[in-house]
Amino acid sequence: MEHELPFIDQLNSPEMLHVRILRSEIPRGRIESIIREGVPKKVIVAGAHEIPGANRIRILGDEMPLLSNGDIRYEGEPVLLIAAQEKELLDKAERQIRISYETDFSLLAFNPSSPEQVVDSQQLKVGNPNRNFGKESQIIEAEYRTSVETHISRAPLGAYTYLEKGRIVVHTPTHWPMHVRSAVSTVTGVEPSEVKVIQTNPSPAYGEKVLFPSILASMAALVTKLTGLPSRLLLSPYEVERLTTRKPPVEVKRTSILNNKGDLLAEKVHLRFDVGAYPFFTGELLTRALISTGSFYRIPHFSISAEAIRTSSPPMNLYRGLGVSQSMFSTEVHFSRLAEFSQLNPGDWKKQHAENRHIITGADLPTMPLSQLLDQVIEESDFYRKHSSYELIRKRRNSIKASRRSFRGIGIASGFTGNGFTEKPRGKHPWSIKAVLDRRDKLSIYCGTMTIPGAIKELWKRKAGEILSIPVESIQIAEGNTDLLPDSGPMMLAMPVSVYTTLVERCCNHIRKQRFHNPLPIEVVRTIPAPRKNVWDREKKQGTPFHAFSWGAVVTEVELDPLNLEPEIRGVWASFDCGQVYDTQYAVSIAEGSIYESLAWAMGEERVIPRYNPDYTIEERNPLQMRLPPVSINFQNTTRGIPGGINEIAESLVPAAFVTALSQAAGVYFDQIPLTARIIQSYLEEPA
Amino acid sequence: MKLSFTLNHQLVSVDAPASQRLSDLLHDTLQIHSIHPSCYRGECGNCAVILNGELAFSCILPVFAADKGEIITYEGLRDSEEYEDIMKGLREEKAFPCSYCLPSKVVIIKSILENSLDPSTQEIFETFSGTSCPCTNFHNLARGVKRAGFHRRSRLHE
Repeated sequence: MEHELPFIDQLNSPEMLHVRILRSEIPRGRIESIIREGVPKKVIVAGAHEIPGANRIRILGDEMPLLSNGDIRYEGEPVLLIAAQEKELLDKAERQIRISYETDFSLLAFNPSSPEQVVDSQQLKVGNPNRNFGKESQIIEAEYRTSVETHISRAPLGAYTYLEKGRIVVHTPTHWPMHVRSAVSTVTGVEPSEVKVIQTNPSPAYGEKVLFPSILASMAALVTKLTGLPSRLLLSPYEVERLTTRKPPVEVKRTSILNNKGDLLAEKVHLRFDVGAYPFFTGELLTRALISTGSFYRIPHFSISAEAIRTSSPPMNLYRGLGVSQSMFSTEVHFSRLAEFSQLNPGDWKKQHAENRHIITGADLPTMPLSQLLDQVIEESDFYRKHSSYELIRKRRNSIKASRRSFRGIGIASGFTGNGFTEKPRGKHPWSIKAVLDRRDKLSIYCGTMTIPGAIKELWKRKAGEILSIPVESIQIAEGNTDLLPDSGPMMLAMPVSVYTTLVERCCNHIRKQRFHNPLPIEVVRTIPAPRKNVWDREKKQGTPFHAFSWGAVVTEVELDPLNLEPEIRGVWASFDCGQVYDTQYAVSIAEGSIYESLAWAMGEERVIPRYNPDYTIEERNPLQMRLPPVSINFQNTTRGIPGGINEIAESLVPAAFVTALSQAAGVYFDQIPLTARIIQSYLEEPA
Repeated sequence: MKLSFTLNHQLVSVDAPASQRLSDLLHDTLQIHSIHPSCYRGECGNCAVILNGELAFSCILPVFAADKGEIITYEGLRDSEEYEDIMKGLREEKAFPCSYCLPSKVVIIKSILENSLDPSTQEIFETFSGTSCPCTNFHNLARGVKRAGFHRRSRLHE
């Protein structure tokens, strides 16, 4: 339960400088002038011109300036750093510094956007969806939207830097220490070996601990480099909420062509992601979106295109899941709708497709467990009976608004998420894991991040112990900093549980082979390999894109009160196959947390558990807040396969099941997230 | 302004601006690192303390609210039997608060058990309504609190 690492706000020293970011007050334009007159002498002011190295933060090919170089692309873009030992001096300096702008009023909007705003696009095509399907075919068009989602991690985000024997030492809650080292080196102009990064406690994270620690560490290190003094930069709660990582909004247009029997002949999908002013990881985001949109459905002619749109919003950055939940939402809601159009039960419709056991990229997956997962949630939730009876009620009633009875609906969603990146890193520093068996038969596992959850560490120890036939007490996960640990890449997309576990196994297997042939100690490094073209061809989007899959099926039952239009969740039934599960109870705990979070996102509530607000009485709170919905979670095949992530699959399926259920309850097709009472009201008021 | 209060059973005297938040005084000046002032709106619960026997979110309290009062934080509970009971209850019910919110959750559980050693699930959820960290399974957490209450009752009856 308790982590040894300190939080970043616990680190300080008497002579430490507090660093603050002065940000742009306009969303787009140019800086005309910066007047620093009147700033107290004890305050250090640093702009782009004071940067001794390069004014950029780069991550896997994408980059943005650390401090504005004159251009302003979003409101809140860092312009200057100010630093002083006393916070009061910073307040005074902030009042004295005057930044004048030449405002460009042509803001880059998401809707509509111009072709110049497209920073990246990808396409996946099967068959020829543009061919003529004959007069008998029927066309169904739909649009889906998801809104931005801010993360709710309140753990402090910042960096503390100082000089130690001429080297820059950085403390920060990063999930990618080697990237921090590289970023600080680039900005300060020193060699990477002259930078030492020590992780602080990141605690709950939603992706913001991948890139932001590198940015903040570079800023604090810049001040340390200029002054020689320890520096600490902590983001304010407002900055964390509004200017760090957020889930990007998405618009999806879908066109389905069915024959007169209701069989789906062709599907055309176009997705647009608002990636904000500076795009990051768009290649990975779009690839994952294409795969999640196509999912496991067997459609003869399928075309999916996805675009990343640059806007004047703050950069969205790397929210966990990278676009999967938004893409899966549109697919699952749309296909449930098509099943209804074809007079089929959506559960049966999905099972028919799942029996095919392949995914959109053509990968054959003989062990694909979706049919069993669907069977389980259908049976446990009594889906067939409830769906039929709610459908009957829906068709018989006149209008939900004329009723005083609550109405119910039930929805189902199924699919998969991928573990690890679809594009393996290239370059001279591949992501790796190291293991050393010493002369006393003690094994040390070196991973680039010290913040691996305890359950995963136990899993590694158990697997390594089994392979090498040594007790788990003889195995340690090495602790340290970037001087000692390898670059294992960013801790995201379920890399630790899935990819790193495989690398630990491969290291141990190699040591086992060497053990009685070579003298101890034996040191083995295993890197994440790039798949052969016949396994995964990223250009053609063919093959098996992921290191491992996490599968899931979810049913959600909803009740809608026609008076206040507050949806209440009557139950969630979920079944997952995430490969080997070391601690089922822990896995259930994680899945349940994700389900509640995704429900909160779908319902437009900040949280499922209510916020303390003295102005509200208990009765006025959302019913869901006061009564946690019953959630039933099962894990299948818990002893086999490569372990996979749980968070993303749980949070990707629940919103679609919720919206489908609510559509049945209200008798209106909802096509967006979030759905608050006010939005539900607006749908009900639309003319039929 | 000059303030004096009891912090974790020790008398403390400090000089602080009257407008300062209690959470900042505890965290920055008095180095109480279990306090995590982060939302400054009384929403996240990570600055929970027990002030004069009542649960309070110190980020929405001015420092003078503590004058002549008594504050108990996570640090003041760690060596107590109550802490042992709380941790035992959470462990047994597989409730795993993350390291960030564990101190505040312990303080909140302490306040729940002060009111009742056999709290209802509804009471527990209502009290935790002032927290936002989603790390812990809510049902396990409620069971953990009840279990802690059971251990506390058993200890008191020994």
